[in-house]
Amino acid sequence: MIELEHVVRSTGGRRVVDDVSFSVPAGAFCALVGSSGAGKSTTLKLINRLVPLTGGAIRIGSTDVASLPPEALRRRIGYVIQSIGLFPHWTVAQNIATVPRLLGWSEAKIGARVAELLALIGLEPSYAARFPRELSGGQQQRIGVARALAADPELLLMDEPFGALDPLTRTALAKELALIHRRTKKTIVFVTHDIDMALELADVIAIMHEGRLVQFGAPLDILERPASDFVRAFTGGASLGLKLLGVRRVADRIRVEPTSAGEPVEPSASLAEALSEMVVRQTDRLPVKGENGAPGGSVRLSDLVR
Amino acid sequence: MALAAAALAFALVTLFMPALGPLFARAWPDVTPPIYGFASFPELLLSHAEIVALASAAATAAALALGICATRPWGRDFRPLLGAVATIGQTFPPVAVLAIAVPVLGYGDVPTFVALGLYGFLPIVANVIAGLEGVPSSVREAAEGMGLSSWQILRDVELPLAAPVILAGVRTSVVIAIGTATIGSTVGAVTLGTPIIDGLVGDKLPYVIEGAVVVALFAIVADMVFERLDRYLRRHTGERGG
Repeated sequence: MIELEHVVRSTGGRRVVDDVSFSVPAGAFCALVGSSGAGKSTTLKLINRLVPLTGGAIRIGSTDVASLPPEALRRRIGYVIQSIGLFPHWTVAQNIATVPRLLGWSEAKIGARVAELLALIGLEPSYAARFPRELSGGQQQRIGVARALAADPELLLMDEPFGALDPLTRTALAKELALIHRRTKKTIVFVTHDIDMALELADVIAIMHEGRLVQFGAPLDILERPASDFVRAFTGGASLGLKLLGVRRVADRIRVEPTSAGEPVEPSASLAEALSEMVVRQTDRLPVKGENGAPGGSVRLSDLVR
Repeated sequence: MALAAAALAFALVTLFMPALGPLFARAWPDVTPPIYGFASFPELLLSHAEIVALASAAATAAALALGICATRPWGRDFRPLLGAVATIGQTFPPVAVLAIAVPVLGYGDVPTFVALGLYGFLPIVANVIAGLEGVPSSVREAAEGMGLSSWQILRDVELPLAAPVILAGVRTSVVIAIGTATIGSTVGAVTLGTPIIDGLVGDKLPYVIEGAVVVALFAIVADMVFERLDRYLRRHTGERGG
């Protein structure tokens, strides 16, 4: 668990981060969103002390981050940045092994860990001996994620990690990250200005505006009950309805009735996916699989707008 | 292989200069002996190389130390001053440094060493600063975020990445020093410039040619060795792949 308590960072007389408090449960994926200059990157860097705290406190588990030497603290926290920052003179394997080497792991343990992480990020073992410049941007950022996970940190900080990638690669990496999160159960704090990515990936979203935390909650919560006009405009605007469809699940709209013909959709699918299927199949009714072997049902077009 | 050929020519000319005696005697019959004889060329070369090596080593050490300081967060204020001092050092002709140094340090190797050291400092310090500042800030941020200490960042990340640029500065400095060391002979240093100066003073052209050829070959071979080193370094910093 990570806990921010009345966190303040001021520089040049200006409060870049102004009295921010929230806590992220262990294993949760927290997205820190806001427009540029909102203070979200600074908040992230306060956690691993790349930026010094002006006031307040930050705890990881029960440890106050200020109680550890910064280097020791950072070796316990994975860190991924937009510009990736792989060490160009080191091979992929050496890059991934950065923190384990700092922690003095044995060569055998490091080798095994590198192999395990390459598998986790879906790269062939032969990539271990390559240099970063031989890889595509997407592959480089995969290595960046693997490097951050190498020493099995309890917390992963990601600063717009997919911001510099093309849209296709960005979507692919976001999907992989969701998978990695599910598999490793790391607590993740993820800075992005892309509200759609936050809605898709996060368990909880912290919305920042001009240094202040303006709302903190689950994606559906934020869409359904925006705390202010700013949040309403930032999260939804004109396409709020579509975003709601993306966050709500078919499982909550299922009708227990004889299933109609056709391939049934998963109950975990979003309403947006269900709507898309209806358009493709030119129908207003879809069969839905039952959850955990329960009998299925169906979902109707009118259910989507309820 | 160019380096091997140049090195061979350099070694043969230096070791067997007397064998070229008849050649010079035929071209300049009134110069006797036809080959410079107050010291052998291997001796001159050794003394020359020693002065250059010491001066370049001192210049490199000083440039590395000061260049590193000037690129640390606490040393940034010092950077413009360092640039100014190094540039002024470069605008002084080495001859002028010699002229100033002799009254203070006396005749011999020492003023030559000082002049070469000061003169060789600029190209190196300029490249140390350029090399360290050329390390992408993303790489530095990642290193810091991973938990490397500032000393580890310098040693494991910044210096290896800056190495090719720093080496290029050392290369320029050394090659210039090899040529410039010859004027040290005007203040009594024993270098390959000794036959050149004696030849100029005594109007004996063969001595000038003999000294100049050996110096030129020395500079060429040194430059080629640095080129080799550069290629090796770049291969090992991932710049040209595996």
